[in-house]
Amino acid sequence: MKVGEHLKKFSRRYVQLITAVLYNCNVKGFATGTIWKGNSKGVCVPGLNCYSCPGAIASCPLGSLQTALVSSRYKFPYYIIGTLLLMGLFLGRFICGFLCPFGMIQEFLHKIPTPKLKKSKTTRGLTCIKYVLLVLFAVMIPIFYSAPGFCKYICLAGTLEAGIPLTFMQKKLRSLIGILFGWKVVLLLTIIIICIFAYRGFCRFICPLGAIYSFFQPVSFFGVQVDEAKCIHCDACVRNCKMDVKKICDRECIQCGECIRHCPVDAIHIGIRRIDRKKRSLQVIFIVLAVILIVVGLNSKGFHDIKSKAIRLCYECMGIG
Amino acid sequence: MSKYRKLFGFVFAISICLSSLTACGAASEQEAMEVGEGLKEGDAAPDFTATLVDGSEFKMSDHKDDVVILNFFASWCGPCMREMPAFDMLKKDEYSNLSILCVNCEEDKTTVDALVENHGFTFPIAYDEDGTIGAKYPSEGIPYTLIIKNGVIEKIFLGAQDADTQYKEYKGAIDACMN
Repeated sequence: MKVGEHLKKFSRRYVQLITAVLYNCNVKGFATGTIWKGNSKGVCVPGLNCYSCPGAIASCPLGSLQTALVSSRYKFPYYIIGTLLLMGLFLGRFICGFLCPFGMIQEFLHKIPTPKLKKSKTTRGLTCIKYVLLVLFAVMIPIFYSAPGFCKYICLAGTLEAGIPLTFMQKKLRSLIGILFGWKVVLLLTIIIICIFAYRGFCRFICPLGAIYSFFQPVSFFGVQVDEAKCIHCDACVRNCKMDVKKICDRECIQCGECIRHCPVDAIHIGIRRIDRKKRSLQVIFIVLAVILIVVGLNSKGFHDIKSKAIRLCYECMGIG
Repeated sequence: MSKYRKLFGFVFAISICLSSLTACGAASEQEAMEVGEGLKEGDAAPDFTATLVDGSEFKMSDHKDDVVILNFFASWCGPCMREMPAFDMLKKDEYSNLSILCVNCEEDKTTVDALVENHGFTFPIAYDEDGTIGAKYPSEGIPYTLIIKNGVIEKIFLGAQDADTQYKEYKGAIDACMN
């Protein structure tokens, strides 16, 4: 295989790899048990990546949303909502396919040779769990019980990236380990096992961030698109897709572009999408809304708020809070 | 052969990333926080002057003859908010020479004022909008609580459980300082 062909075939893997390294480029942090305290922590990366990870140089959008909702009775979280709106609007679940380190980890886990769980009506039904988790754990618990529910009780990123390495490296944090940490480690192992058998099991069934981005799928600027003039409706794209999609670019599509290889008539493309006038108007409305929210958020110290949270260890995310 | 190309590609991509990012990391070394870089038990408590929610001022050096319980918290920190009633309980114990001070971490005045009004806290709470006080008492996370006697840090608590547990822990440490 020529280098050009190789790069084309594995371009998504390279993007995932580079993204994972860029998100976690505080190399010294991994060696010494430090967390990054720079201004970049006031910015959210698009994918799931715990900001208490020693390597993380920016904030996790889901973690930031939850901590902002915890204190939302005092200050409306304009900045983080605007940021999520903007990222979702531009990229949708392309973020899941290309820009999430945990997506990549799950894909590697799925390469372990074992019998695999095939997608079915049942797995499609199970994808609704992530919407329930979004509402209950990422929105309701933070607002009504003042705790980042998803980070605290479920998120594997906090356990894997921060909880385990930092309690291992810092003796004084070990004294905070309790039942919650045990629960999170067991859950992490369970999710790892699920991901070995089910392709991207965490993304498909659990991740509330994927659930948020899925709302933007119909209007996102970037992504996969089918040329209806060329399409022969053979369904090769849907049949070969490992996610629970019913059609290309529906809520479960992570825009990975795997379907492009399987299309016999080259009718699928990835890039800036052409959409109808009605959706274009929606895009404009969302952009204006996102910009207003971000500007208002910045004026009310939203950047500073996200940073001041992310430069401190989130004990709850680590499972020791 | 293609397997070697694939491997070479990955190694090359990682090398490029790591080399550029190590340079980035090295450039801002001072911004990362070292393990154990913070204060230790036995260290002198750094002096600071804080403005309290009630408008008065708290100067650490004015409390050299007291036992001071100094806590760092924020409204978004669940464990911090859960332990806050412990400070009300300590205040009600009416120790003769105990000073309580809870320093809010980098939230704006309106947020802190609303929080105090909402919860009805009666113990002294200080603003630290720009993080000046927090910088003198660096810690990996909050809640972060120090028991200070005669200007020397006697005990440090990292994290918190519920208010009752924390009350017992803090009361024990304060009693040990008083005796």
